[in-house]
Amino acid sequence: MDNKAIKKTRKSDEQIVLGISALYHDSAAAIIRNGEIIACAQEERFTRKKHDNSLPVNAINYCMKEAGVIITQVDYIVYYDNPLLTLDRYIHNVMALRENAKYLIDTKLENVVCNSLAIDRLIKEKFGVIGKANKLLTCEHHISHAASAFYPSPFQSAAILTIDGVGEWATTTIGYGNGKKIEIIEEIDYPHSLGLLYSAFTAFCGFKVNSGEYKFMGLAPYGEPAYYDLLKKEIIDIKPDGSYRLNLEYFDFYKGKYMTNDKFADLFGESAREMESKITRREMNIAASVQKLTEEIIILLSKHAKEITGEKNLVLAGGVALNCVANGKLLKEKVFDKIWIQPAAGDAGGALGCALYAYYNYSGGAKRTAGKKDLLKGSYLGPGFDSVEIKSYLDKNRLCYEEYKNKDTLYKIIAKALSMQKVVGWFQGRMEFGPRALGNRSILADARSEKMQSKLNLKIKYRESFRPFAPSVLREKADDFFELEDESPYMLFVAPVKEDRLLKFDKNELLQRHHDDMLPLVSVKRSDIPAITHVDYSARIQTVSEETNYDYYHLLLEFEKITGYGVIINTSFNVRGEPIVCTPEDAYRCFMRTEMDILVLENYILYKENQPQYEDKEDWRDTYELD
Amino acid sequence: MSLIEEKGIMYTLAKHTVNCKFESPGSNGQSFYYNYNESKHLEDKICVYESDEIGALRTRLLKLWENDLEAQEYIPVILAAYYKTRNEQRKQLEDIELYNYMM
Repeated sequence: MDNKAIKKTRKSDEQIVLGISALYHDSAAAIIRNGEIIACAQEERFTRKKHDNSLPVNAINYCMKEAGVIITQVDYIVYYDNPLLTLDRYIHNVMALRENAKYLIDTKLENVVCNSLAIDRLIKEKFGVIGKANKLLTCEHHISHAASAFYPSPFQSAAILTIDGVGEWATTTIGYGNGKKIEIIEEIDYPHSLGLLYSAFTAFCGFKVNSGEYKFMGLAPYGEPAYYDLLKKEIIDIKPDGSYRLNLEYFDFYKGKYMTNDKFADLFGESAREMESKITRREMNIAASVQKLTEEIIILLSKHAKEITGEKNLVLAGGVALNCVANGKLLKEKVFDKIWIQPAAGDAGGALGCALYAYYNYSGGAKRTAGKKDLLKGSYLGPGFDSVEIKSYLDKNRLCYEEYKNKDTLYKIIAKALSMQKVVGWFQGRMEFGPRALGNRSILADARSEKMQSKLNLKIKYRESFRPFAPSVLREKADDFFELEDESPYMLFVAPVKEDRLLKFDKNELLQRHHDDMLPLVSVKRSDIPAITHVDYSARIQTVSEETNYDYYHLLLEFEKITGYGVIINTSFNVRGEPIVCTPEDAYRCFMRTEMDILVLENYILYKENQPQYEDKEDWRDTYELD
Repeated sequence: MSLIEEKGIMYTLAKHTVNCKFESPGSNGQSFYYNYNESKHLEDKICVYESDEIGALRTRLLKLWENDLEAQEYIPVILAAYYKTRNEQRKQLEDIELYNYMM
């Protein structure tokens, strides 16, 4: 990075804090100025390696560039985990295993001792210095999650619930925030973990841990909770206050290699499903049972949080907070008046959380007064590319495009194309922070089409076809389509499609008739917006407002003018196994590798049929590991 | 980097553990929650972290495990692994600098 090229806009009374998450999964960096969020990005988007857990050098460089600073102008650099406490948990895990500790030692020692313990040294070696003070701060993991949820929220005070696989020791915490203060009151500790339980079942049903959990969630509506009672009897003890304990006789994750063991498999009749093999009724029913159990625990935890904090609002973070089906059920329970969830609820969001916590609690940051809106700016916090940069890229590569200086015309053209069943790669503004595409790095299509779910799955995303797509809907029209009273700007709530739009069918009868093959169910028309209606008639919703995303909102508006429907499919701009696209080059590459019809890069439209022959430098199907 | 020796030492220590198992509160009671103060935390939720000063890491580990003699037995092998990695990485950096200088 050329430090001289960075415009030194730093004023003497500014506080710049950089937060980092790294070494476990989903490395990220976040930078704030006087408590204002300036930039956040996940490292995977730059390296093109999904869930990249290496030190996020690219993300850090981007954040500093966006803030107009160099490393020596950063007041504090904060890491989202406490390496000593994580080491403490690791050593005690080793000790508890005794002669069974070999695998855990062989595979984890380097990361825990040589990387995590040396995090300050790793940063110094890459950047020469650790910020202005040349010292690293570390923040407890669940405090980082709690801060990522509370500080950007629109609440002056709130109950805080964080649930993940594991931080240092804590796996679930309940606390509260008030002003700039955050306190954790109670916690559940490793190895008793709702996140690890969910991941264990994810793996057992043949999906990848730390990336397949939302596929497992998407499988649940195909099944019935036939194993629910068995789970409560054998696998987990849940108390009325929401606390829980796993029966470790069935689990192996604390040994390091496998998530579960033979005794676990015996409960479900046979061994784990092989990845990519046929999904049977057993997996569907397991998914349904585990989902029901997870929802029950989250609701009980929330009720307990309400009881011990007395707060009327709730904020959530930690990877389990990405379970948007559970979030939707929680919303419906009305335990709290309002709920706000950090969109980057997993470890990536910890980078933002620890930076904010450091600002308010270490650097003497100003008093915090929450506004009416959250501080996340739509979660559009990553790199953006202006028209000049994009035109330069297009011309340099001699690509064929049409330019529209007037975006109103562009909205009309694309809306028309969508209504004619074209699939559009939509690249606008700053990249989203968090796992969901929210209309800046999205693939868009017509939700009214019966064939679109299959088409997108097989020809664009190259993924399992049972997985549903999600809708974006005009905020003011959400109530026309879904049973959703509140906003859902970050696609974190699932809600039913309106009853009067549904076309009912017998899921179990169809499954039985087709010998548990889910494909026939996928192609059954379930509503007048079938491509985003799941088999249980639910949808994972993004509500779009003009204020948060002007371009996307006006595209939706134009689509509504043509079709009468202010709702479209929004899926992330990537193929399976690939991170969401970051740059115009990433977008063009993905466009040309798939059967997308149109690519929109800010003011420029590219039609597939007009593009030059595309030669891939690599067999990209080998490049991206199946997730 | 190779940590075969360190891993072997750690495994030997593990096999001879006497008194460690996973616990959770309220085994016979109504709740499995720990109060925050009952669970393992350092004094400050956010603090300065330095590993590279000679002796600093050892001091921190001794403080972390001041009441845990079995865990203290792991300190030498942890430090050995840590400094072995540091020295190897430094050597790699020196080699790169030397190569660049000669080129």
